[in-house]
Amino acid sequence: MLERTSALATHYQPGPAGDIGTDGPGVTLREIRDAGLWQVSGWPGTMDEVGATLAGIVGVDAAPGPLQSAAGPKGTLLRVQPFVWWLTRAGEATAQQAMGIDAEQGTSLDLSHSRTVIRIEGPRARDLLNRGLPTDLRPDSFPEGAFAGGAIHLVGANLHHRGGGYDLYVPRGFAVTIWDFLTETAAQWGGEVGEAEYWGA
Amino acid sequence: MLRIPCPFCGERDHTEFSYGGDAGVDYPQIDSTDEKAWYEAVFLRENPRGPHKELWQHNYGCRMWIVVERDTMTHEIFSAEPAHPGVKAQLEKEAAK
Amino acid sequence: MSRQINRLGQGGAIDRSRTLSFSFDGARYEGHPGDTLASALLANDVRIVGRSFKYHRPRGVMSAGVEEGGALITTGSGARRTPNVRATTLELFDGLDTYGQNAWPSVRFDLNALNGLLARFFSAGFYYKTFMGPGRGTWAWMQYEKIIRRAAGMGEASREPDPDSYEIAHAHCDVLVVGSGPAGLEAARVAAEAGLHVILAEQDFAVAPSLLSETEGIGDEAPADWRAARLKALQAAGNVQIMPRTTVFGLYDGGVAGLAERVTDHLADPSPHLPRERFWILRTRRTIVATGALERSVAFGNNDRPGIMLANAARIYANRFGVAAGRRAIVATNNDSGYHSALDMAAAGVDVARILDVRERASDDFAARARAAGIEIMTNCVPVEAAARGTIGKLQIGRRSGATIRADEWLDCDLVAVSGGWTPVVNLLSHRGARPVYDESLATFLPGECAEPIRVAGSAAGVWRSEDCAQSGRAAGAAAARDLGKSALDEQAPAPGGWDRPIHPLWEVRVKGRKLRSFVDPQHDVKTDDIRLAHQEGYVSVEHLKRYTTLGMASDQGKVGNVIGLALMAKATGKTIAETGTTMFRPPYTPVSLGALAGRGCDEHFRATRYTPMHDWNMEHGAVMIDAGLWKRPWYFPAPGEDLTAAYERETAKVRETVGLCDVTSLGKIAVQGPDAAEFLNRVYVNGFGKLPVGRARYGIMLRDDGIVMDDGTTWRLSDSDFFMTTTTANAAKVMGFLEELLETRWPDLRVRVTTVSEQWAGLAVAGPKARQVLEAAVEDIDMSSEAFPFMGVREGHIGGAPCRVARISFSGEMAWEAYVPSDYGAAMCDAVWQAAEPLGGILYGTEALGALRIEKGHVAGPELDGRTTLEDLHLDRMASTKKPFIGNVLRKRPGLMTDDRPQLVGIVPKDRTRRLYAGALLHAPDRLSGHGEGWVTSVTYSPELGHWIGLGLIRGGVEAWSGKTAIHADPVRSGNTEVEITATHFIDPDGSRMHA
Repeated sequence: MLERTSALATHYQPGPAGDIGTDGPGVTLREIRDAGLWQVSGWPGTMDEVGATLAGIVGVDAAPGPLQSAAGPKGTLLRVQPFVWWLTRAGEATAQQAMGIDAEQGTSLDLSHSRTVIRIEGPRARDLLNRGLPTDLRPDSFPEGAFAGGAIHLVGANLHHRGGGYDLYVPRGFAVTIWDFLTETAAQWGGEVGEAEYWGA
Repeated sequence: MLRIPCPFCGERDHTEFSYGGDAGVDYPQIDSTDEKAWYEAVFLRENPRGPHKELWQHNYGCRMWIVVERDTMTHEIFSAEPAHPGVKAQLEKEAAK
Repeated sequence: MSRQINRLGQGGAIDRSRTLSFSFDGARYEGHPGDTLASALLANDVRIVGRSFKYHRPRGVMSAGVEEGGALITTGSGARRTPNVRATTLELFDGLDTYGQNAWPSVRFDLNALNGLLARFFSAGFYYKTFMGPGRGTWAWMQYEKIIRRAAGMGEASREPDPDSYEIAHAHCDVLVVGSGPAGLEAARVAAEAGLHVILAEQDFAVAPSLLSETEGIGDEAPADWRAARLKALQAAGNVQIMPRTTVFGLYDGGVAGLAERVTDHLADPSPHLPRERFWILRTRRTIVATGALERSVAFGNNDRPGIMLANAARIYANRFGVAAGRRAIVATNNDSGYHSALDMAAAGVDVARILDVRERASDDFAARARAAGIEIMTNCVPVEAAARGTIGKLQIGRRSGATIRADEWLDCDLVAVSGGWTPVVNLLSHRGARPVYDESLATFLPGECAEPIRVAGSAAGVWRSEDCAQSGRAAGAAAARDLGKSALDEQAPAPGGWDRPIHPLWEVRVKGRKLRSFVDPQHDVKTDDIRLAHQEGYVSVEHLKRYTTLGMASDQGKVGNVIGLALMAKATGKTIAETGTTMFRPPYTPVSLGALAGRGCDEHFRATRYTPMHDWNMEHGAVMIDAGLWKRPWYFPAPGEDLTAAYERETAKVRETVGLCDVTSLGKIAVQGPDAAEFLNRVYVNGFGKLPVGRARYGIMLRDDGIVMDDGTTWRLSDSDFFMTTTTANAAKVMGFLEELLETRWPDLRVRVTTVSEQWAGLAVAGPKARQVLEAAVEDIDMSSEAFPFMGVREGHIGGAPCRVARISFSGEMAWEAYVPSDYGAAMCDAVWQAAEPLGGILYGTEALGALRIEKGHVAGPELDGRTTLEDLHLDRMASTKKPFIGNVLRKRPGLMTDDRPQLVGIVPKDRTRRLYAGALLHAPDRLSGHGEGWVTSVTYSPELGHWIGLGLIRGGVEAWSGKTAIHADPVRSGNTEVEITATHFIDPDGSRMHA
């Protein structure tokens, strides 16, 4: 199988960003590579059945509502737009038929290569994100599992609050610019770039 | 900075949106050949002072087109609803759950 | 090193155990942590620290805060030189270097002060008057302007690039409390204890700074104890963010506040990773303005001299900083608060010679306390004139009888502390359109009604006593909490006021027969006479007064003097102060660095940069890049020794001769899916897409609603309900937005989903006679033959192991394909195709050659689709379907767009084939070389195939009208006039046989 080349491949450098103090890094960043990402949508009147199909594919009770996610053993569902979910899981693109959704029910579209995913963790993760993202990330407004679209440094992006940290989805073409913005900003708290991870690993 | 309550994403800065003009325009059906109706829809606009219904697209968020009622003098925002009736119905249904 | 001769033996919120070394104009001094530059300079008896703007009169420290109009200095040097810094708010640190400004050779002895002798020629409005007199006209003005420009300005900014970084930060909270005086502290505490998330912003470097100079108890508690207890309670509440060194500089729509946080200016050796300042964009649900009140001065003769300051400032220097602002002081007041200053200075050991009170009598309490302190009170007395050589040495007093002042004795002094009353800081409310309201009894402006959820507490609401301010803060905090659904004790907001005896309004001291120079704006040198002059000349509104005299237009924004100015204007016009009103305050409250407003958005971060998946591959293969909007695209691939021209000419020729590869990823790409997708495309394109077979692509044009051409592109049909649309790079976002608008606002019944897939696919154009050969080698599983893969066909397969979709489409007019693979495989695709192309003599080409090729072909692009042209203009009207409706179809036929004299698309060739052409040149008839002419040139290139320059453009009458005639390519700016022929647009291969091979 052909290897995928990330947008950050030649740019990525694990190590410190700024001066890390005795308390450890204030924020860690790493890329999660080789995402499997499909956009699946329904029409007015078919959302229940499409949602059920997706829930079955990933193994959760129900597809998530606005601003939410649902994580199952075989993938995660992210509610991106009123009629649209993203399904994320490890693995490569497959055709619409694999989703079991036909044109009368909705659409499916492979977007696996369209986003670069940056994982941000640590005590200053929210501060780092709020340097570029105006979204309200306070725990009451953006709890664990929340998912929202927004703009970081004037680039459209999506954010998933998962596992105590954040997954930031940025359009692939802007990955280098956003990465630089994040690592330069993180330096003030002693940032650290970790080794890249692989989706589903 | 206007704060616009996107029906899907919640209250956001207006800089996440692009402005789409008067929401009250009555566009003719696509197969209409009525030149006057097309001319009025495409070129003529009122310029009211006070509450005004207008279109915004949540460009940097969910990309939804919404109808916002805003006071053109004070910038107070009274309401924001999806422009697409199907979207509106879907969100209302899910909110009711 | 000079000693701190004015430092009091004890007291002050300073750390006397540590000494800080600093300099002013090269001389070294000492101070302590907790000092401002002003307090440290005063401690060291440095009295002259600046010069006024116009007359270069000496300036000393006039206040203890942001309202300072005199002690403006420059800090730092080289790239970090910062002019016009207020010494009164500059936090002292070890190694701080500061300089006087606006003077030569120094602030202590400034030759520019000689222009003070010409003062009568520099009164208000002098620019205008000067240029209406002798020597009017442009030439004269330009001479005056040179002189004025040299004299203008205060400090001098550095011209070097700013070495510091700044950042923008976003935040949200429930309640924003502005100011940490007693009112602000209590408002924050009550709101936080009710369970709300509170941000408390304080512009000073110390939190609750006013309490550091307070000596009157709050209830039973000493102010220091009360302060400590409140700060502890705020800590304990847990959900309060206290932000010192942070100014709320503006309130904006939607409950949004702008805050400027000073992060590193007070640090001797800050980390290079810290931003120097942060611009916070804060979204809050409720705002409590507890910004306090500023003391006013009184206008009397030479009241701008060093040694004359606000009474409360003298008190602050004594109590907070342990500094005697003078050794022998006179306090002049028209209200109770001046007495606090006098008593506190006396307690600190300053000889307070007199209290001059314009009123009939002082309160019994103050009278008794002054007597006990040995201070003589002179009632019905005012300051008349200060005498000085540099700093003040003597003050003449005057005795008041009714409204008349009679000048009296001269008293020795080195400090005059003046209180003319207090003005609530209502600027932030003014930002929201709430005009302040004049209160006669308090002789001040109180905040007006505000329609937004903004409350005012403490002295900002005209409440004077500290314990009343605390109550005022609690009431505001509780009300905000209840608004947001939390429970909080209902406490009454106290009424404005709180003096023992009422204030006696005193704006200016005038003595019959005396000409006094009395200043209202010490930074801009605006005098009371200037205000009367403005009125005399007909400028009777406060807005005119401000701009004509420049009162309040300096960096202090008239915080101390504005009210005096409009009181005098009221008097001159015979109106009340209430009727006269105020000017509007606009953000920022205090100056904000432009760097902070830009944040990290400068240099390479000014805009986001968008790279294609083949960026690194392009660079490795020698590309020189160019910006196309936010994208970086390969511009040309120079061989050794080639410049742009040589490169693109070679690339263009080679594409037509052999084969070329070009990264076309930046084109807009949109997935159009759903059962109604074909119907949707039919409605947006002028030509038909409903019957496009699966596996075929079609070139389409979209119009705007008004019938003007919007964009062009190629759309491929992948299945019954699945289309892949491409657009131009420049219009990708616009087209996407328009498609979504149509689906959501006009045709909600159509079941169509449009999704941008620009980032999902990497695109490579392969063009030239050998293109088929190259792709046969590189593509694994697609039959590339002409029969199996006709022109405009679409196929799917694999390239270099990556899944691909390929269309046989041509922008260049050569046999060509565009191949797309998912982005992470982009480099692999290029490797596979290049591996096949290079041995055949193939080349890589960029946007310059791309442009040259399409111009040779006569293919329209952005310069022709410029928002003014129609299908008819471009000779593309035959594409328009007559069988189905589409956007723009009706209005494109309106009479104005169908006239015969509209410029039409043509080709252009220079008569003298050695001449070059320029895009943007106008086209004229040879006998009418003026005005806008008959048309214009849109695109030009050197054509390697034809061996000369060619162009596309639009001209009235088109090819037919100009057959056999000469037109003039008129370009007065760049190349002058060139004779040209008007031709057809297809310069090469007019029947398209190369594309169909």
